[in-house]
Amino acid sequence: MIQARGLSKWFGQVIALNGVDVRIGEGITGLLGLNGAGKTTFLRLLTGQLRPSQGSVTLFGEPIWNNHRLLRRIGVCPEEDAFYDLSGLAFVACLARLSGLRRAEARRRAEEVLERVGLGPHRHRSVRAYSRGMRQRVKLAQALVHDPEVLFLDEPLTGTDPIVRRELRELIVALGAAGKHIVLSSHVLHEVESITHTIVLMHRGRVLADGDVERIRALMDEHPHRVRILCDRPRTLARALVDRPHVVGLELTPGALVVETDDPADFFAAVPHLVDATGVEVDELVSEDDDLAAVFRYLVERS
Amino acid sequence: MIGQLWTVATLELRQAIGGAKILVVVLMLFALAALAFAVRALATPPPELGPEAFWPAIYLLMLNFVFLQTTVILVPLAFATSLLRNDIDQGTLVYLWTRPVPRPTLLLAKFLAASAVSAGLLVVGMGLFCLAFLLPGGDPSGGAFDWLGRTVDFMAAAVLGAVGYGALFALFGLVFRRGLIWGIAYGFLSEFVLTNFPAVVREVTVMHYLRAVALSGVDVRSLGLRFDPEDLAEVERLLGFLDPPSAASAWATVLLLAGACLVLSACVVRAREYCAAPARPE
Amino acid sequence: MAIAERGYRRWEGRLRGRALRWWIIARWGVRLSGQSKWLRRLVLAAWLPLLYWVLAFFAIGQVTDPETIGAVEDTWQFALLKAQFGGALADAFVRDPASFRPTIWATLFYFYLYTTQVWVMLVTAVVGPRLISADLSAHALGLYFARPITRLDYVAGKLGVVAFWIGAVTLGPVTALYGLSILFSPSLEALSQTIFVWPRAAGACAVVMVGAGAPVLALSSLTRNPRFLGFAWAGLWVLSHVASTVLSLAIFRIGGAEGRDWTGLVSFFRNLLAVAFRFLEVETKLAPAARLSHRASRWMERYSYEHDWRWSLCLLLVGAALSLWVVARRVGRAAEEGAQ
Repeated sequence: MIQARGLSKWFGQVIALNGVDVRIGEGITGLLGLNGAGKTTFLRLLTGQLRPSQGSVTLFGEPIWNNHRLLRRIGVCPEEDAFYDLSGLAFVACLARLSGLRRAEARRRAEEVLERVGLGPHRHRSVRAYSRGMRQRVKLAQALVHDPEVLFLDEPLTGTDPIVRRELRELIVALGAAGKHIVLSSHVLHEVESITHTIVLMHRGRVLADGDVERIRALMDEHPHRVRILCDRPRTLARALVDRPHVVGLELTPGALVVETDDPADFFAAVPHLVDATGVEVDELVSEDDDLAAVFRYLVERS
Repeated sequence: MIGQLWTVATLELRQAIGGAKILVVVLMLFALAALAFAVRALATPPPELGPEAFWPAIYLLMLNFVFLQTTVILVPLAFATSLLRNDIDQGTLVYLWTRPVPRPTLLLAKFLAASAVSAGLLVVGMGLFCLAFLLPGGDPSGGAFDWLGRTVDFMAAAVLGAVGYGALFALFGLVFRRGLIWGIAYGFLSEFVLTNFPAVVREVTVMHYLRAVALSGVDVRSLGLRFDPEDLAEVERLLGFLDPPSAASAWATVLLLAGACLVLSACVVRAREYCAAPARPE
Repeated sequence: MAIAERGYRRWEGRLRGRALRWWIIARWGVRLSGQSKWLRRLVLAAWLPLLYWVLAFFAIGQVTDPETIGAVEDTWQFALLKAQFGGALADAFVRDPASFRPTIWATLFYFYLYTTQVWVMLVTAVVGPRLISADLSAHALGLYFARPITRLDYVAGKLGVVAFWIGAVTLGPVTALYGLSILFSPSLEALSQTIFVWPRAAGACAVVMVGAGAPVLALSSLTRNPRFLGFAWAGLWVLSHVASTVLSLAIFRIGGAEGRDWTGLVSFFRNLLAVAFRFLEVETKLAPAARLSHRASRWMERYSYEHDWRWSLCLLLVGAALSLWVVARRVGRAAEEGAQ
């Protein structure tokens, strides 16, 4: 659906995006990265707001820059908290008109999407008087109003309270289930993790990894996994582990032992026997690399 | 496409009318009307010049100096240089740039709206000016001078100026980050200084053609200015020239220039990037 | 119940004297506004015309050197002097430098101040609009008034910023020019004859700093959106000048009104220049030259103001005082709103 080849973007002497090669398929894709990773620049390139300095970016096989026909197929929810001074309904209807809908149709669709994002009762209020959560919803509504195939959501959950965040998350998941292809950016890892397992990890203008979280995990299998074992006699356990073939590192901390292994499956199979043999009392066994945060940390550190 | 053009133009109109900018411009127009009132109240014809010659000359001189050479430049400067800048600064450009409308079309709609606002303000301002000049004591020429006709000529020149300068300043606003400053510099140097130069030099200025339209119904020699030659030369210099091009060719020239500026602007807006927020790498 | 205060900790060290607190605001304001590339270019551009005056004073120094007097007629220095002042005045000056030196210096410094007015307008249009409105829109007043700073310190500090930049295109070049002109002079006699020039020119610059600086601050305090203020400010200068010219033409120059032409009072430019004209005593200094030289008499006619210069000074100072009052009021109100 989306393909970037050798995509670079620089502003003066600052490289914001550096030789990005990535394919983004259907469904929901999370664009993950710390602040300054190049996510917004990448999204602006994907939506034709910026022209690549080098390389190319295509959407449905066509270049997006200066291709206004292609813009009919996308909806963009920007990060900027900026609006025209209109009511929610007028704002969304106005942008629907710009997307080519006729007046009556634009108004009908605007009412429909505002209802869908939960702003139905507030549609006649000025957008500038909306709360942060409502503004995020109205931005989502204007992106949806012309029923695009692909949605680009730039930090859609930022600045919202937990309840709004949950509702927006559910809405995005529902849109994905309804067949919309969504690219959403975020720097909050667990948020993306709760919406999708397909991710593109970015750091300092480069794509570190892309694909399913599990696939990325598989990539990581070459890298030693860290497992923290909380027990009463960590030194005894360390002595028993030191000769194991896939244990590559041991670290003793008060009340715990951190093990680094390059074959987690073998290690986890062996742990019960070792515990049994040594008589050590284990309180907790935690894989430090289990969540997306660890994947991210690992890749970032490696880069 | 018409619907999209209309929507963008409406948004631009709302931005132009809703901001502090229009307040400043309206205040300026009221100040000029007050100036007309003050001149009418304070000036008296000299003994060697009757009121039928003095007041029309003063009126034309004021319209030329206050409106044509100043306000007709300042008002389009205020509205046309910020066609995209408003949206860039407010962060709303993304809503326009990600819609299936060619960028030159968006720009054209914005330009038309901004020019309409400029032209409307100038015409209303001149109307106020004329009223303020004539209301205190009625027609001072005793029916010898066609006040309405001459004011309409200046209004036509102002409308043409709103289009011509509008297109030029729109281009400045697209090419330069500080289009307003470049516009002020251009307005001051080219239109305020060069326009008073003789012959060929002033023919490259927009003002030369606007004057031709504004003064199409006036023969400066026939104004009956009978005072000393040095003053006459001064009045002639201020009023512009004695041998203007025809009004039709002046219209054609300025519209052609506006068209050329718009085509250039369309090329620029297609080729250049304009981002909703400052182009900072994220 | 005791409440453990965990927020503001009183500063136990010594505080700087109150009199200098505005200076901190001014210094940081100058530093911040100086980051603008445009402003730096503008100030540089404002200094460029000075080269001509430097050349003129160099020429004056050369042609009045006792060793070369009598043999200067064919030199470029004398040609420059003739081009600037006309043959009669240039001849008289070379023959009797002591009598005409004050005339030449006062006129040249006035002409320089005349050219700086456009730069003053541009510099204030670039620096002024953001000075207070940016603080208002960023809700930064709380940062100032959470410290032992009064409204007076704040306003004085901001006025200091705009005054600095006006000074950079007026007082700075005038001082440099005076220093160079003394250096170029052949004897110390020149210093004693022209000692009046610098303090008087500096006084005129100070009037410009306050007279033009305070109103732009007032404009800046009226809105949170400074984008359009530069335009409004430049428009005010241009339109007031145009209005003054039109009134003068209609009432006095073409019209038949009797009495002194007061229309210069309407123009911002002309009020500032009328003060500089009087401060430098150009009229008095040009009077003896006007009897000899047609050009000097034309200058007298063209540049002198019929209205009383004290009205101009009064208008400028009252305008400045009113402006500062507006600023203090707006800032006070905004600070109160921010505190609520």
